[in-house]
Amino acid sequence: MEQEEERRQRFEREALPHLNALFGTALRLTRNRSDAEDLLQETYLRAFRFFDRYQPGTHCKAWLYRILINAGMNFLGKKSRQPGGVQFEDVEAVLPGPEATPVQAPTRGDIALLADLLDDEVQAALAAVPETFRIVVILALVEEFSYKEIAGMLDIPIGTVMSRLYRGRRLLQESLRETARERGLLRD
Amino acid sequence: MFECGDLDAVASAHLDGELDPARESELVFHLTGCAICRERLEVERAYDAALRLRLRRTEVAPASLHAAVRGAIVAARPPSVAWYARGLASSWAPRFAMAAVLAVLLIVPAVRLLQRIPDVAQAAGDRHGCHHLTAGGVVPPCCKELSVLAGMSLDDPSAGVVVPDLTSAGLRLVRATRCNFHQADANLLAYHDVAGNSFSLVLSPYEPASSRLIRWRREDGVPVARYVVPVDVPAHGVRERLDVTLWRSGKIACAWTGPEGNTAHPIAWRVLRQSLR
Repeated sequence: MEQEEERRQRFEREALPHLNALFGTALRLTRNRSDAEDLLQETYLRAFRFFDRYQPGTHCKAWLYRILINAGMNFLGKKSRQPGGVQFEDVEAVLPGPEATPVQAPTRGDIALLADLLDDEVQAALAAVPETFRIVVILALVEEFSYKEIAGMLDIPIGTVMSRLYRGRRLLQESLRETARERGLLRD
Repeated sequence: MFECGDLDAVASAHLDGELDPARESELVFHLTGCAICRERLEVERAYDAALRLRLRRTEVAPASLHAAVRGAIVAARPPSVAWYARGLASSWAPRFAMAAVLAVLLIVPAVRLLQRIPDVAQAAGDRHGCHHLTAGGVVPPCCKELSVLAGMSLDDPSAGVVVPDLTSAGLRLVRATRCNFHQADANLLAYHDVAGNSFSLVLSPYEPASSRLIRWRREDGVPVARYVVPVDVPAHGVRERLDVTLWRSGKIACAWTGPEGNTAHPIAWRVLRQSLR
């Protein structure tokens, strides 16, 4: 049987190198550094406890992300249940589907606007996207997980991943336009 | 049959290379004869590529987080098979037995020596006796400081909790404190890293594996963090709540605010952090 110290060393060798990548995602999910650090500690503790369930040779980063997302959902769920919070399922329910085309498709002007925005503004625009869609956008566009992997992490069908990603992209695009408007880079 | 109006719904999956092969073929065929959709998709692709680049800002986790995570892992006790369940036939058993005898011979005199040292803080903690305070009432400094070293077992028959040695994670033990209550003790250990950042480890005497290493926040104002710890007390058959407040001076104040109602849950110990407003 694997000794505890060997197990710990194997965990440090395989899981800890992903800390920075997970930190970036935790930051985008929670929208502040302090919460991101707490979330990541919780994630790594859970991962360590359940490290026996991780199969060596499989995608460790994806396994860690699944734990991060689960811990993050609990974390964000608690926050959204605080007074004044909004359940994201409610938001999703009232948002129009792809067929309603809530936002105009990107234009070459949008590409130029994107180049004019500062890094922090782009990150702030992403942070303004509701959590349900933001998670999928981060996992697909930033971390480049496959739809199948994302579906596994979020425990949702692939079709839901596709529709959330579609909406997430459009909401982010609109959020970026709004940021550009505030900067005076775009006029209606 | 693919139509121009379908493009919006499939563009996202197409850009990610995740479109169903049959639908992908229809799209490709449609694009060969539709300049408008080709142009739209080209713009979408360029926008998507630019967006991915802008979103991928590399974040570097602070060194204190690396230390906290390593410390938490070192401190954590993963669910494992107890030594007695592995069988005494193990070739290591005689060595363990020898080590245990040596440890007893060394630790017992050390503990006796420590017990002779007058501990003002301990006496003060005993005098306060903060049992069953009312919610919202004054919270006295009811903890007693313990003279323990990393690797020692805390003197609590219900716990058998060993003070974790986190030096391999770059954390040095500076203080061990216990809050005393009727049926539960909260063992709070304070560590410092090389940069002087403070960490506290809340050790559960019941479920050591659920103990957590928590960073202290350095903020202005007196109280720096507050933890609300629900504790099931089987002897009482009730769920009670332990409020733990960390103060800037390093003091730790506790309050017992239950009971809050009957529960049939097994002994549980969770630490929920609430930021002070």
